[in-house]
Amino acid sequence: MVNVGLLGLGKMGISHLAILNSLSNVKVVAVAESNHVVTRAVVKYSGIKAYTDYKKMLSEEPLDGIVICLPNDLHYQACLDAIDRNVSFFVEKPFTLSPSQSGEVVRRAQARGIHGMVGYVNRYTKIFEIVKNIIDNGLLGYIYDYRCSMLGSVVHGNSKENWRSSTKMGGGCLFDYGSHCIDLAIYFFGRIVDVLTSELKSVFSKNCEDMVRAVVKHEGGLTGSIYVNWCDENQRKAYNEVEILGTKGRLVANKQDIKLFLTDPPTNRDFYKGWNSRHVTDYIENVPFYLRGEEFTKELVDFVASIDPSSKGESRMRSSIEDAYLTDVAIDMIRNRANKINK
Amino acid sequence: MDKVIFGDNQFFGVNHMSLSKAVGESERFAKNEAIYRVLSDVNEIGIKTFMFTTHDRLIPIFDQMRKDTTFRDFKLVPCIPYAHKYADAVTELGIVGGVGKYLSGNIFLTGIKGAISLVSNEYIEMMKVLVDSELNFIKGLNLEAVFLQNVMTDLLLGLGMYEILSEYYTYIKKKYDVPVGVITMNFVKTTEVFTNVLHIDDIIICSPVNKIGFRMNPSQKEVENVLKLHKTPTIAMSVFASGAVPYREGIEYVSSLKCIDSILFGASTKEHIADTYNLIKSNLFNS
Repeated sequence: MVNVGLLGLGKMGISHLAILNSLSNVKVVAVAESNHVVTRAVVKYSGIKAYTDYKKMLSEEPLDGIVICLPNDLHYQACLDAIDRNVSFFVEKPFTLSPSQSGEVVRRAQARGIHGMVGYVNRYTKIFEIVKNIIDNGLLGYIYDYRCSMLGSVVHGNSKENWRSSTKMGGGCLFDYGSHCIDLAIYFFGRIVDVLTSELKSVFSKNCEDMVRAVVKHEGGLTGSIYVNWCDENQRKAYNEVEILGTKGRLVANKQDIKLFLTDPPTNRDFYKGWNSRHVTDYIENVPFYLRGEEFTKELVDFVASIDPSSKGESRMRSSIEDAYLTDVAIDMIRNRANKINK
Repeated sequence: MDKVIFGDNQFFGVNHMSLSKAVGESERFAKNEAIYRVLSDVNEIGIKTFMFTTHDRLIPIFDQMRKDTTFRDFKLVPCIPYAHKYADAVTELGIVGGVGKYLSGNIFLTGIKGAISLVSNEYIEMMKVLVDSELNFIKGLNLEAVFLQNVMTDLLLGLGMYEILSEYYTYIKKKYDVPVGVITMNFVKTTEVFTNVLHIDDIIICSPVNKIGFRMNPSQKEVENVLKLHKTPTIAMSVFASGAVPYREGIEYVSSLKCIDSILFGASTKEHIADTYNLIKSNLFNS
């Protein structure tokens, strides 16, 4: 049995709690949340112990790992507190609010041999796994361009100001949507080493950006563009799309389907010359417990496997803090570049 | 419950397989008349039960239905709550503010009762207030059954909040006197909790059942095994897995299980609806 604690019962916290609580090898020992309405419901109906102060929970409970779903600006301190107690952690995205904070967390975790994972759930989405496989197997030939976007409906004309409108609290579209998109680009194409152009645009918000457009350069020299926008009212759910251009074809994919144009398909795979389309229903995967998407269960299953005391300490994390640090570096470069251009 | 139930996903641009299909369907049903026309076709074909999410888009449709005598024997099965509405409010206002928005938004119905339950942590009272406000939607029409949406069922299931599931069941039975159901993506666990823990055997469970095992968790085999025990009434949904399974094969698979009580499906054209209806009737419920 793996003993897990959960910090923060907002939307993601509750969702993760429900999944963890359903995994047969996990015992959710306690939760920490300052909102009494939510905490009392969990105590009363789920029978899970609750703390208002997570530090108290960390010192009193025997934990193999914690899941941090606190407000974004508290991620950094909570990660450090976990490391101080020798507890492995899963932290929701974005990892921290700066590469210096993230770098410090990575260094201290490595020094203590602690596993850390960040909730970049796109890496666990089946279709994006397939895209990664297509890229790695060279089906598209030499890749020379890509476009990675995320659109959704978070901020509208009549939205109230909250933490999401404050960059200092980890709000703004760059931290919220940009982080997902950048992480996906890094997952596919490796580290981002430079930002060539960058624009942060406010549409409705007064104190943060609602849209980001950036051209980034990866370590192998590949350049591509990142585009995120959280004012798109036509999106019922956040929508990720990636388009990749290579010398042997073109690929367009979102969470639900892939369209792949190949000029020189391999003989050993079921792809033809010209257009090929695949849907999520072509790659069935079942999960022990389902809530909102298979990928949310898969990432937590991997986290739990990585911290299981009965396992041999092998990490199965597909989005480690080391990966997420690279995303925070890129976020910082995009913001700095935009500020420079504006001046 | 009827053997064949018509669903609403196509009206709202929901397609689990393909986004471009979803966009196409959303355009097709941009006007209320288009939705009304399909429901009239459904009624005429002989499918008499419509299962839907309590989406605001349907308010004018039901207003029109109330005045239309051809719908006199048409039965409605609301699935509550419309989760995206609450999820968006929670994103903007936080959990307390988000729930509060809908409690206060329905002040006419809920008034002080709702406000007090929120402050005093009377969660069951709060649940009842939200249920009433969602069902106000179809007042004066034939209420056939009430279902809990899968996000809510699975969330409560995961959190181990079985008492709330039980209270929901009891409240609907007592106040509305209709069959109670849940939609779930976790068929095996839901069946186990309702029958073994809560000892409620007449809960109707609606869950994906399809040839390719799409969303049949924890595995197609385990779902099939529990289905065959027929511990509760069951409705098969996602029979065609958003188009991934050909019609005849889809129906034949469900038919081969010999334990499904009803099939829920959605389609956009009269011809398509009639064909599917006839295929289901001749294969599944003929014996």
